[in-house]
Amino acid sequence: MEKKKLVLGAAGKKEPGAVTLDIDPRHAPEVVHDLNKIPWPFEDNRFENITCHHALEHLDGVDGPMREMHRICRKTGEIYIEVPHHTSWCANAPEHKLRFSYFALDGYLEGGITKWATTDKKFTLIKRKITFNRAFRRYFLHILFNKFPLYYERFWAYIIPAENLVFCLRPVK
Amino acid sequence: MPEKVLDIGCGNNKIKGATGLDISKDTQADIIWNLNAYPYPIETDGIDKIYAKHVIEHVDDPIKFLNEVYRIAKPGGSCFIETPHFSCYVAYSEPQHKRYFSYFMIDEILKKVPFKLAKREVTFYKSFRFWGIKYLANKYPRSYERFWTYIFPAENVKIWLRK
Repeated sequence: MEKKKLVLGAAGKKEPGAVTLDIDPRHAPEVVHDLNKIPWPFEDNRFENITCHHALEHLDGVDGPMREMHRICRKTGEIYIEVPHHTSWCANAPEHKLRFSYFALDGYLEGGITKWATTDKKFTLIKRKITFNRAFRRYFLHILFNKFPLYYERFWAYIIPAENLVFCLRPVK
Repeated sequence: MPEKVLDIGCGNNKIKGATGLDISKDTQADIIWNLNAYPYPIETDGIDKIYAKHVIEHVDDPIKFLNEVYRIAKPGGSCFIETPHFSCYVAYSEPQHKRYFSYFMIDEILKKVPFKLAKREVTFYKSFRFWGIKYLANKYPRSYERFWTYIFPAENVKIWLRK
């Protein structure tokens, strides 16, 4: 049976029900491919689920990958993206090329507030959240800051640094 | 003779009376051009006023870009640059941004570009302006960037250059 899930940048993680992809053959993924190279070796509307866990920040840009994810994901599918928040202590690792804020993918969202992004590939936002370390969650700060993300980014981001950003998207087709 | 004004990266918010230049066709641009391709299709010493708002963080090589802007500027002409400060979330809200600028980064760039620095400032969101933080940060920029940047994040860096 054809697998309906894709894991991008799997880095050695084994997932029996999913197609794993990585740039490094030493991780023994099912598909070895550099995500900066467009197109990706999958046909249109191939996958129901795409997981992109700490992979996007290693790429040269997000435009090509977002277009490819739009292409290979079904319109009922779901794309899970997790990247470090720009204030996270993990964000500045030497192999990271991109940093992300809460509003980083707004140009790709339906009704996103950025007006300068030029893309015709849009996604529906299912879920988006900033995650925090337990030390901050203890005081329920993650609930507060996810409720007021603009205020968080503007005033509190460097005082209460976040960990990761999670986006769940569905392509609009 | 009327003054020639060029708005680089004008988007849909072009400065009145200016010639617009942008990479995208869905803008008010008069010239569609990718700024990473040199030279730009504009004559040498032709422009009195150049605006480059939120552009320099998008180009591959800011030094090459400013040298090209220097070429098209008239002697005595001016160039205005605005870019997000590295402590502002807007800098990280657009994955196309190639780099993030501090107050002092233009000093390094101007060692390789013949422009003269006329003025520069770092701007803030209005609730910080209310507390006089903009005044203090611009008065003591080195202390601001060393100690206070992440407590009171800035918005943009504005730079005025003269040929």
